[in-house]
Amino acid sequence: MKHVSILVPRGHTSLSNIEGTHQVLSEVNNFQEYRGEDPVFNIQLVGLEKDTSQRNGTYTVNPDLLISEVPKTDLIIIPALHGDQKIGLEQNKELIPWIIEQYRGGAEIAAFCIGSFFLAATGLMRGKRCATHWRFANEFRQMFPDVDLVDNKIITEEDGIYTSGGAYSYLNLLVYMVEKYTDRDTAIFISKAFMIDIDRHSQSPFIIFQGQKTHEDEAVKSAQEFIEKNFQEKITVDQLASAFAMGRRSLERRFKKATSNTVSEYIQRVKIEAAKKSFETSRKNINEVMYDVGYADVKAFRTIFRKVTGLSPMEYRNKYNKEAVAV
Amino acid sequence: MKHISILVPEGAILGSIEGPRQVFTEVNAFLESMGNASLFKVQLVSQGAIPPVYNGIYQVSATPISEVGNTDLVIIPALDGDMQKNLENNKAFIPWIVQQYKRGAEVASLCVGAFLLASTGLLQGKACATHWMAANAFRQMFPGVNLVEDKIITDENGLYTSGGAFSYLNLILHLIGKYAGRDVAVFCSKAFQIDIERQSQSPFIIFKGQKEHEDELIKKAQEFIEQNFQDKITVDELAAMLYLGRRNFERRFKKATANTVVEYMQRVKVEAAKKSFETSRKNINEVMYDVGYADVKAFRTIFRKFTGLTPIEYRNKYNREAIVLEA
Repeated sequence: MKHVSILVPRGHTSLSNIEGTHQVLSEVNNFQEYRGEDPVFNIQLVGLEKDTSQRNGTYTVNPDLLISEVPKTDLIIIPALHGDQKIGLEQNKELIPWIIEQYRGGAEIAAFCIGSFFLAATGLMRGKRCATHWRFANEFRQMFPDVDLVDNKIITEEDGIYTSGGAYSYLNLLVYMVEKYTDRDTAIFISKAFMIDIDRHSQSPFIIFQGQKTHEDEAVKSAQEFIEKNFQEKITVDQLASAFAMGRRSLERRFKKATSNTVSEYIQRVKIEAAKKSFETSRKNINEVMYDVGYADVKAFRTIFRKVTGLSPMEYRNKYNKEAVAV
Repeated sequence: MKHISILVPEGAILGSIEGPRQVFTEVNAFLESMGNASLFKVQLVSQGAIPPVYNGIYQVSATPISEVGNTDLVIIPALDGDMQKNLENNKAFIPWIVQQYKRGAEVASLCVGAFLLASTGLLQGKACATHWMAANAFRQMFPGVNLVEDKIITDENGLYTSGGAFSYLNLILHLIGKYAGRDVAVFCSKAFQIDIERQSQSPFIIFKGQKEHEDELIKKAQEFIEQNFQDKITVDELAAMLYLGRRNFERRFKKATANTVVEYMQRVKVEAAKKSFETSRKNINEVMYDVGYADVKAFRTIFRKFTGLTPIEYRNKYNREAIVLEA
């Protein structure tokens, strides 16, 4: 029997994560019993205090145990902590040495969505791959530059540490972990009982590109704005470099450092984001959209579109455009 | 400003209260970030002055229905455990829901919250979705409601119902699309990573036969079908075996199982094929022969009718090695 500690941090914790995990793992136990096998998980909520207030008092959670009462656990679940990450870390810093100690003692750890911030703050993620909600990717990179953020993934696993993509993608990580702890049959049963698409692997179809402007390099910011206003035209790196009075190599280096994209990646992402908007709302066909955003070669457009979104232009339109099927 | 009342019933699954609260609240934040006014006032609503405690762990702060006044949308969350008991424990909500509906409010039930909605009588003769696992129980309890087992969203006369478990998120997106516009719904689908194009519960349904009836002869027929599904079985043969007239047999079978004899045989075959696609490395033809079909076209048509997917799509969704096999 694996002891699972679902953490209940103070503040604005995702109760959907806490309660959803509890419900899914309990159902795994029920399924095992139905098959005549022993339950797999002993699931407990573990916190820092009795009666932990959540969402400014909307909920009060009374965990089963306090961390001081858990000498050894097998799996720690870190739910998403919403609100200001620094405040969340400060409010719950007593959890950190306990998590580290348990990990050293052989426990595995799973962080959901932006629970990855808390996990990264333990230092255990240094040099490891980590997923998080795409909306917080920039903030994460700034706060934890030595963690290898993979913002297109919804599941990572490395050295007994699991992380998930944003929001309800945590369910995909849960199903993945259920399969690891039990077997494929159980994972399929859970995916059907909770209606979780077991074949979902990428966060890319959900990412909205918002530019990365939370840096101090004003010249690079101007270059970003120039790209965003003129993405339909042909823009070259040389042209940008001379417009902002920089050497080409200097621009490339500073641009990458500030935005974590190369100049040409950034141009591509701006174009593709415009194409996505168009596919979502307009009745234009693929070629029209392609020309609108400044591509002339269907094959190149498809390749880049898929690289950024994980889907072909047609698949993307069918996913998000209400009238696509009718059209 | 739309006033949303999320019910806090006895026996509720907390995630289905907190999930909608969080999504509707995020809509407000999104609208404000775009310089628009917020759209929803979301309130958690309980029967009496003291809201229930869940599993001895979660306390919810809610407003009693007596203090709510007029509302525009009532959300009924999913309930856990014995349904008769749940209905009994939450009966004070029923006249309130009916009264709000007659005043012009809309009402949405999530997953097995459909039982509480159906017990108001408002669903009489209307389409209703619920968790596929609860379909048989629902039909027995509410024969006057038109249960649509394969749907994850119904929308009729201001009454909405959803499919099981986390597919309620698709209904929430549907409501946001109606109230706030398609673009806001698309934003929420990306922020919460909910596949907005999902429309059918069929890929998740596990057929288990319908044996919760008292007609022992029909149960015998069901068992015979389940043991011999790979062979050709005719209705006449079954009727003769049970010493029943063909028409009498068909009528009793349909009444007891909600399926015709032929549908039942198809569902047993398709369920066996699904299992095979999930776990074996057999190709489509092999599986087809195994379950007793010889005509690819017929097999595909029937497979899609019950699962919503082609055999290949189904295998790709659930078989881990499928992608490798294709390559």
